[in-house]
Amino acid sequence: MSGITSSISTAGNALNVLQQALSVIQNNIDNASTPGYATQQLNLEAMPLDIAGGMTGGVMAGGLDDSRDQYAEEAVQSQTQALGFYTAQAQNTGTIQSFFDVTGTSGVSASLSALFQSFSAWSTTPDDPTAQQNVLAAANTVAQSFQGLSNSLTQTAQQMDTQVGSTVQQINTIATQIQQYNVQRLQSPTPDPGAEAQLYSALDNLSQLTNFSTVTQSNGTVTVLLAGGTPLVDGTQQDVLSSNVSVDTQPPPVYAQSLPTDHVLDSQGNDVTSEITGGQLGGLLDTRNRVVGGILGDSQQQGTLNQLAQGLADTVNNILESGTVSTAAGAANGTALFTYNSANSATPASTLALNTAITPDQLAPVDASGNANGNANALAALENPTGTQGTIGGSSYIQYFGQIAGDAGQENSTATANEQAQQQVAAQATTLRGQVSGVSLDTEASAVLQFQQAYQATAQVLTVLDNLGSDLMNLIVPT
Amino acid sequence: MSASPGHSIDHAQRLVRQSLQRWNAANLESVEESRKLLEQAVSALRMAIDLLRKGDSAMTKGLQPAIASLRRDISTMIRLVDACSAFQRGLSLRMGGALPNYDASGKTVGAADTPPAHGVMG
Repeated sequence: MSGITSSISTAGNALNVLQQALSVIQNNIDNASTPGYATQQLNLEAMPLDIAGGMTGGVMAGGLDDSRDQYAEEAVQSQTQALGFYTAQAQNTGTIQSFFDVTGTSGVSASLSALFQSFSAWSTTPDDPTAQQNVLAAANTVAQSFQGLSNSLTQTAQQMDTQVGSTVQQINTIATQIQQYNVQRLQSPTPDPGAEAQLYSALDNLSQLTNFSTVTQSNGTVTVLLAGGTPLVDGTQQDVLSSNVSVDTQPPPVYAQSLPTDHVLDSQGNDVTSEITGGQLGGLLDTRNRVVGGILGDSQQQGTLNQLAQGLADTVNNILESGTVSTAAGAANGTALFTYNSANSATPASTLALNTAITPDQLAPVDASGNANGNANALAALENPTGTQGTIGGSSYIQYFGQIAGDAGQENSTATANEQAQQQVAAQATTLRGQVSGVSLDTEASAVLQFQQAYQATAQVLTVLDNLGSDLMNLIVPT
Repeated sequence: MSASPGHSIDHAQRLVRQSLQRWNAANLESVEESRKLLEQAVSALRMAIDLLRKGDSAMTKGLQPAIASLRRDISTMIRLVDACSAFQRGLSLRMGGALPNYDASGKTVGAADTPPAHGVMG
């Protein structure tokens, strides 16, 4: 090629490369708001200049580099997973907490107090029909309160079951998008920035729903794994998840008729629930299975509310049935005040009822030793028991219910505080991802050091502040 | 502002919340400002403790909820800074396992020379 021709060719080539570079820049601008899009940069490579050998130099376009940093992406995904978990937990424990009246003026707490007051009034006038009728009315209210609370919690559990199902479907939909990206990626020698943007947007969305990790394979496809290594997407294969509601069979159930719990299954039907520990699904499963399970029971535990309902009914019934309705010779034995489905020890709270067979005059105030109002006094004493009778784990029934309500409140308080803190952490992770993306880490080493030192200094001040807060709390008189 | 433990605790909480709002992990100036606000919060709490130690126990009445709320904010801030520190620690590892060391002239020690830019033959 003659000198002038080759010069024109070189210049033309350079213009061509410049045109490509401008297209990349224009594409970056167009996609500034596209979720998951990372700024692209065209690599420019110098062409060899060797006039004698006919090589005219100039510039040629190399491959495209994007500014995405895998480490920063994973950091954001990890924090988003935690945020999804706490948000679902806070929302659902908030609903559970709302069923417990913290003022003690309604619900189970108030009805228990009213029952013990009715026992107390009856103990002073055991033969008074009004006092007897008041005991029956108060017992009926207690039973209805237990049933109402149990039903509300069961309905909430069922709503969470539905949410788990729909969340699993959303996860499957996103997994399909990732699988389709993999199919496309295998057909293309170079990654397409638009398709990559969709992939990372899908991964961001997935991290709101569940915890997972990703591995980019040498062929460019992305493998998505659940925490236990179960593949959600592996190359062009997708493992479709499903959910079901059933009583655990492993370990063998102690309460076979308990409220069933939520399970997530892989496409082979294996239970992968324990692998879901993050994201919205993790928060839902935790609240549904652990928190609701703790109150209403599951295959391994009776549930605190059932324990209380059964404890109360058994204690009251045993006292009444051990005595007689009067001190007269041949007086009738006492009748049980409460009934519940004793064939299913997982349902006392939902089946607790006033014994329909009892009439006011069948209440037995006389104890087994013949004391005229011994039983009535024993029942009245259940409000503040001095022995083991009328207690669960050393707490009176009212105290025990207070603990159930307190635990529910604490769950919500902790989840809400975690959610609020995690919102800040997730936002900062996104900020840091923006800082790292598109920056050469080799040249930014000193900046990393500066940031670490600045964080360390702040952490030290915070340690002092935390200690002072603790000292302050120890100084004050509890109010 | 009158000098009472309650006022000092409220002041400390305002400062911690400002620090939380000011915190931008990707901006050194904002991290610095955030830290200074926390240092002011430390002073405010020290003042509260001094006042409590000098005063009578009646002064402590009703302070428990305020202190609990302050401690929650401190806890949030600790989590935030911990998470950011963890991010930078991970970044350091990703950059080669350790942070760079510098000699007196500001050059990195033990690091390979920067590779030359692509040369032009001919």
